[in-house]
Formats: sequence, structure tokens, C-alpha cells
Amino acid sequence: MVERFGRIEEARGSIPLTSTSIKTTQQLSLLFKVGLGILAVISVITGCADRGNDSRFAGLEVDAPAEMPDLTLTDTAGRPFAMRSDTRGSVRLVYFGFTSCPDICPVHLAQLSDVLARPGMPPNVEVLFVTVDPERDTPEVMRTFLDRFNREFVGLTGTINQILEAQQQFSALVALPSSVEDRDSPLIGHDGRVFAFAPDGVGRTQYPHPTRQTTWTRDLPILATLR
Amino acid sequence: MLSLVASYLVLERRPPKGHDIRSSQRSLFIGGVLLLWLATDWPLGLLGASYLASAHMAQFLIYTMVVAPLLLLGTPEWMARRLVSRFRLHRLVGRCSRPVTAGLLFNGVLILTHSPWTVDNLRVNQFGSFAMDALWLLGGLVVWIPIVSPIAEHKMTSYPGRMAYLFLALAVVPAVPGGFLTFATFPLYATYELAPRVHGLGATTDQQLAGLVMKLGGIPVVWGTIVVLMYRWSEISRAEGEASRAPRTALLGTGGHDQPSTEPDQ
Repeated sequence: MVERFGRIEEARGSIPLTSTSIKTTQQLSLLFKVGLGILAVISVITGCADRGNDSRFAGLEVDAPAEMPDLTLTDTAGRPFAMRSDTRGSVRLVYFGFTSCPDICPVHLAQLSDVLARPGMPPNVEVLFVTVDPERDTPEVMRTFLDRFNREFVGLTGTINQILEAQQQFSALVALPSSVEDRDSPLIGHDGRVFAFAPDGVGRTQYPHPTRQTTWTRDLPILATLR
Repeated sequence: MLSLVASYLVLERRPPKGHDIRSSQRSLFIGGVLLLWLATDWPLGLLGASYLASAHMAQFLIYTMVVAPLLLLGTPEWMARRLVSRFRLHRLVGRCSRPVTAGLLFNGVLILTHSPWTVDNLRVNQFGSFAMDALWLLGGLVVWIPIVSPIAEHKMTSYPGRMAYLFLALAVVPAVPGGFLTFATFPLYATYELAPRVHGLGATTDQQLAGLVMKLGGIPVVWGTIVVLMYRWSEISRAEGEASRAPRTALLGTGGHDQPSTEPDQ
């Protein structure tokens, strides 16, 4: 009991601290300082990260927002389709790809299909898939391919020159066939970005591969409000 | 895997005097290695490494819930002792086989290897994938040691203790990350979210499936083992009860009373 009382008095500071208790106090103080330091570093990093997220979109913002080109291509029903005027009032997501693409195209389309099925997503979103392989991607082939993801996705094709012009007007990298010769399942190097245009027709942001669903669900409702 | 089987077959030919290997043990060990191969190689290995979170989870379950106990059950005691002393692992294995340590280690491995950061960074290369597989197997061996260790002193002695340990270490904690996966609004793992879809299975559906596999997949193994342990415990209790009654009956017999006991079985 005496020993216990002695310890309590020591803790209250009524008697001088022993070397062991000084060491413990120093260690506790060091631990406290280290903890404070870690907290400071975390808050600085978080602050920096928050500052980095000040931009309006989670996607890549373009330096000079531009009007959406109004090209007319052919849809999967064989009808002419004006990319801008036939989608007025909607968010347009334009993507240049091809149906036998092994990875990027199906992933982008599957992500969009999943995202658009989520509750709270704007109903006025049009996905325009423009083939860069018009020789093989006939309207039927494209329809079958797009239906795997979403029956509402629009497939567009045209002559080689029209497709080339479309890519140039959207400032997309022009698709080039791979040097590997394979006529049945060709590999084509193409732009992996999805070009987004708000209902007001202005393109402010783009979505490269890979874009996660969290990014899409953050940005699509914002884009839909820009009228 | 071949080296694992080869080492086993070489070791089994050199048993100490008076010891032998049972054919059932050999079958269990080889079955464990076969399942290890099935979980690691195409198609499950490839799907789990790059395409489907549910396949990743199925692999985890096979490694930890099936392969690890089969390997332990298939190893005879003399072989385990020889390996442990050859690699001077007695103290380490002894420490890891304590139920609290084993449970914490296994669940630590479980949480670490299912965190999005680990999966997205390790699954992108072969070495990372191999490290994850190795961690799963080690974690599985550690968690099963207190239940089915070939070395008697590493096994828990109490049956209720073993059952409680199994329930806590292998059924309760895994349900937490399983719940996160099942009820997460968005895909947690970029690796599986951004992989080409397999048979049109969406990333969120695949993740929910993975959560269900994690939560429910281990139930047959855990509860099956608990039922076996409970049965053995009841058998032992009955045998002990009969053994304790036998001297009393004998005593009663010497006293000239031939009436049978009317006590119910315990």
C-alpha cells in the first residue's frame, strides 16, 4: 500500500521523478510529437489532394473547350445520323473504336453500360460509338457488338474518308492498323479517349482509358446540367 | 508443385523405425497438391489474377480452406518433426500455433491481401501474384495448425476451444470484408473493374459474388469441421462416462447385487 501511495505522489509531482519515470515521460513526449508530426503530414497531403481536386470534373479537362462537330455518319439501321443535331439536349459521349478490339473498347463500353444503369444517373446521355474499321464493322456487326453492352448505344460508320475526317474534327488521334498482319482479327491503334460534350454542345472534358466508375458517376450528372 | 510432391515421396521412403505412412495420408497430401495446382493454374489462376474478383476469392478459399488442411492432414508426425527440426522452425511454429497468434496472423493476411491497394499493386505482375498465393497458403497452414497439426503439442487439446477457435478465426472475421465487398456501391478493385468482362459479368456483380464467396464459401468447411469435432467430443465423453461407470458396476457386482444400472448415458 505504501508503495502504491508513493507512486501516486510521484505522479502528482510532489516528490522528484526517478530516472525511469523521466525516461518514460521523454518516450511519451516523443511518441506524442511523432503522432503530431504524422497528423501534420497527413493533413498537408490531404490538403494538397483536395486542392488538386478543385477542378470541376474528375475527367481530363481540356484547355480550350470547343463546340461539338456536327458530322453526319450512318447509324446501324443504315440511316444518316447527325452527331450533334440528332442528339440535341443530351450529354454526348463520343468514342472511336472497333468491334474486334480486345481490351480498351469493350472495357469503356462495359463501364458506361454499368454506370448508366445506376440510380441517379441522368437519362439524357447518348453514347456514340464511331468505328475506325468501317470495312469489317458493318452496321449489323456493330449492332450485335453494341447490344452486348446496351441497346441504346449508337453505332456510327461511314466511308474511310468520312471516318478520317471525323477523327480529325474531334481532335482524336487518327487510328492506324497495326503492323501485325491478321485479316480476321486486326489490331488497330486508336484513340482511347471518350470525348464528352454537355447538352450545350461544348466539350470541356475527356476520359482516357482506364476511367473508373466513380469518375463517371461524379461527372455525368454535372455534365447533364450544362445547358 | 512437382518439387513438393517429389520431396514428399522421397521423405516417405525414409521413415524412422516403427513408423510408416498411411495410404490415406498420402492421398490427402497429393489431393491437396492437386487442388493447389487447380487453384493456381489456368483457368482459375488466370481469371483470379486479372479478370474476376470472384475467381480471386475462390482461389483464396481453396488455398486456405481446402489445400492447407489437406497438406497438414497428409503429413505424418515424424515427417513434420523432421522438417521442423531440419529448418529449425520449432520455436517459430510453436509461437505461430498459439490460437490467438494463428487467428490474428490469418486474419491479418486476409485483410492485407484483400485490400484494394494490395490487390491492385500485387496482381499486376507475376511476382506479386505469386507472393499473394504464397501468403494465402502460409496463412492457411498457420490457421489450421491448432486444429489439424501433425505435431501433437501444436494442436489445441480442448474440443470446445477448437470449435470456438474455428468459428472466430475462420467464420466471424472473414464476414467483415465479405460484407464490404457485397454491399459496396462501386467496384473496389481497379484490376477487376477495368478488365475485359468475362461472359458479360459486370464489375459490381462480380464483386458482390466475390463477397458472397468470402462470406459463405467457408461455411461448409468450418461447420463441417465443427460437426466432426462435436461428434468426436461426444464420443470421447461417452467413452469416459462408460469407463468411469465400469469400476462402479464391478464394485456393485462384488457386493452381490446383480441389478443393471438405470443411469442414462451421458
